Amino acid sequence: MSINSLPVTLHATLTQRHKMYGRGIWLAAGLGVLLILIGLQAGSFVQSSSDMLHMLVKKITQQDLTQQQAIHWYIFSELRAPRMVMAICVGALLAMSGCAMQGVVRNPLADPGLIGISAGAAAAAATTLALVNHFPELEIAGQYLVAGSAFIGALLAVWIVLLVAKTPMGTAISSLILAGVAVNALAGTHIGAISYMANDDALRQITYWTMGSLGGVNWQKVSFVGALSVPAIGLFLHLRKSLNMLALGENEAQCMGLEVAKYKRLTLWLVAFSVALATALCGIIGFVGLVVPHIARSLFGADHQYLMPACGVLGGVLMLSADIISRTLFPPLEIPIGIVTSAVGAPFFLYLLAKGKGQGSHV
Amino acid sequence: MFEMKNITLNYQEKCILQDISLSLNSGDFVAIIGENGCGKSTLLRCVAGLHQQVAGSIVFQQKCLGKWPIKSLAKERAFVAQSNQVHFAFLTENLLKLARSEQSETAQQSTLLICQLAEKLNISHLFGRDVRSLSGGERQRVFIAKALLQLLPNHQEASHELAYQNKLLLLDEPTSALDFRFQKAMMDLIQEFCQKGLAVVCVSHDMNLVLPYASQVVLLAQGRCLAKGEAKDVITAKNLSDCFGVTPKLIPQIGAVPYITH
Repeated sequence: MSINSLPVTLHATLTQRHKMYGRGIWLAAGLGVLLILIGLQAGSFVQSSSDMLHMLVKKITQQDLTQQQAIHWYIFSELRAPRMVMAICVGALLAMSGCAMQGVVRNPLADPGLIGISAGAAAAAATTLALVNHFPELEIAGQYLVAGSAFIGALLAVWIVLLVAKTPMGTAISSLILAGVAVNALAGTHIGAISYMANDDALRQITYWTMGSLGGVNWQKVSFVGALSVPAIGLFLHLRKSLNMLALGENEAQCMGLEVAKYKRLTLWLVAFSVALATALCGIIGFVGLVVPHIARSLFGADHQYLMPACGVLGGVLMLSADIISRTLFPPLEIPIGIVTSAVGAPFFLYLLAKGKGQGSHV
Repeated sequence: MFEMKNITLNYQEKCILQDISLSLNSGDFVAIIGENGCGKSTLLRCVAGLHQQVAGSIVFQQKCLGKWPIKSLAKERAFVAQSNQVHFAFLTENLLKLARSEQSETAQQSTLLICQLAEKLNISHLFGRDVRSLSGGERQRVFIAKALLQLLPNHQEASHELAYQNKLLLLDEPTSALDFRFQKAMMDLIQEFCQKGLAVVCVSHDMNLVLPYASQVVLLAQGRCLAKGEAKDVITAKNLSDCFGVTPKLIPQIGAVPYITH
């Protein structure tokens, strides 16, 4: 190939790749819209599309709904719609956190849980659930107390891990991971002790909370998470170039002009905040942060320019799918969504690993 | 352009570097040689500004190295480490594009510069390949290309005769993984860039390869500068014997640095 044609060919290849990945992300977003439509209809009570459309038209034109339609409208607008939006927000936050976490520790096996976020949240939530159960007067504010304490517990765990891993040269990744292991073990012990002492009701609530659920989601919670998700997602997108540089190693990234210590700290706190937010309101939802970046990497490559937005969209898609499965598999029972994500995610992860072994690693 | 005075570095109560001074002008090629573990790579990292806890002064382009904003510094000096790790499946062209990410230029302009340099380093056939799957030598060439792209000014100035004036390239064993053909080609290419104003500091064990290109040689032993100056003055049997603990044979060559052998 001559020197004159090479730039043209490379530019064409890069432009084609850019368009292809862009289309791929939009296609995934389209799948998400389709899943929203399915999710709004599916569940223990099935609503047909024409009924939904009919009610929507009536609502827009401010016509009165029949009593039955009013119940259907309530299920549609107050139960299913908010949990769809919550699934998208939480899925995007967890998947992007996983992607950022893997980027900052430069290990595709990393998960936000690695630095004790979920364990810290679970330990705090278990304590609060046991206390609320013990003191009935706290029950009015029960769910807010649990969410608030889980959020604080998650951030506290991360703060301890970061404090231990702090060196004069910045955060040491190996110490970060080892401190995360210790905090996870400590939180596990705490949950074990609380579970041992808790009564049956509290024990059931703790178990249910740690399985993760989108049940009980309302527009108030959604608007809270949504308002905080938007800047968090914006920041994740802002971190794309720095994560690409970090993939080459910290010295290399510094020589390329990245303030490594600052960006590592920013990334870790952003991951902590995002996962704490998602976990506080929905409990522990495993595997999304680990599996989605892997799927996205196998489809869109390792360049965070595309990988990060792809993770956001695919995270939402995975959570929407998991929510639909959790509501439709054994109606009217609803399986905790954390069980679905783990049950679907873990075998899929094994499949990806086995496939990667045969073809050379794609991570 | 670059001046390092009385640099001393201690780590865990051990003296790694002691009282090292070094001065460079545009177009200089400084070779740092010495025994294993004598502090060559550490000195290079000090020059790069990667060690914060050094005593002494380092001035680069009339400004204290520690006071350089990290982004501006990245456009003026680049560092190629001995081993280059990539932790995810980055394609060669993505890696090279990353080196141009701080420049204000269009995608087409950066692509053109990448291709021109890739042709020079004979790596254009590696486009589309995962960097991790490249051989050691191919990867070394890709990383040297990345460093040169990082230093290259914007599109308009890139073709200028002195495009690399006042820029500093730091190379840690740049030819260690290269074959016989590319070792010589790489050194010739670096010399070509030196003629465009690039100052190079190169750590190498391959003295016979590097010394003929060096305008200045620094011989290190146990963290101290044993000798410094032009190759013909530094490369003596006594200096090499003091440094490596073995007496080498020096085969004189007319008008060139003696060939060093056992």
